[in-house]
Amino acid sequence: MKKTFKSKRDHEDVLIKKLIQGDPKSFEHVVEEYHNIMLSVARAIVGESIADEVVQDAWISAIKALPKFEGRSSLKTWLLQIVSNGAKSRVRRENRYVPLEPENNPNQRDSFDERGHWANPQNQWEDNTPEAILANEDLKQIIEESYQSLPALQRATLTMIDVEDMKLEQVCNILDISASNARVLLHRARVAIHQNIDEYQGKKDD
Amino acid sequence: MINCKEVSEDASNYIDGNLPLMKRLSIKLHIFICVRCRQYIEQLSSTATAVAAVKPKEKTSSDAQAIAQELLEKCKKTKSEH
Repeated sequence: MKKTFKSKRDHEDVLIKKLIQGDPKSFEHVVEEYHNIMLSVARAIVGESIADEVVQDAWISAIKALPKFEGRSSLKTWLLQIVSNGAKSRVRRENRYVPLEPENNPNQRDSFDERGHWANPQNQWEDNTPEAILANEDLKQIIEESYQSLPALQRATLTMIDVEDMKLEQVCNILDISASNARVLLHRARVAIHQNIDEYQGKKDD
Repeated sequence: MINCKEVSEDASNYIDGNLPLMKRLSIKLHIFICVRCRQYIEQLSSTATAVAAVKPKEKTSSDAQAIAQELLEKCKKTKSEH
């Protein structure tokens, strides 16, 4: 365990040195690795229209600040803090209002009756393991599209927790939300995607 | 006794191990008996795992290579200005 951690740190140290030297392959690698999650976070905080700009600024700040990076956190967390801080100050500076996300996702059917029993249960899934889902190209597409249709804050939360495997505390810090809020957002995001997969599985039976 | 609606609302917390012991046991007992809830939790869990593996991307028109190149140029430009 310890060895793995050390190698990851070493790997990051090497990457950072190369970035400071201006190695193009390293720039490409680091953008490929982290641009998506940075964009996700920016969109959640400042909305879509200026998110690209905010992320651009964050990248530039980060590259400039790289020589001072002490490695107390991972590179990913450090980058996300830069984006988050940049996004939050844009919000303050411009008094930007990002509309509150709807309570429930639209199209969320009422699955339960007044007694809390299943009224409209999910289908049986032919592809009912992660492996089966991943082997199905239609489903991978459905996941990708459902993800992209999620409200920005749900999407960012899902990305950070399920895709990027980040700790809840970091997520709350970066997105400026409470732990219970984060858990609700994560759940809603998963449910939305589940629902689309379920619809597909239902049609498959027909 | 918890009902199916309550189980579904706590499904993610259950999957992620974020529940106090008694709640966790209540759900465990419920899904032992209730096939639909057991199925729902399995499906939700598979969904979360599949999402993690698919690693879906934000919808964007720009690609990593172009961004990296632009970034590199901007940084070189800044360096030469000092």
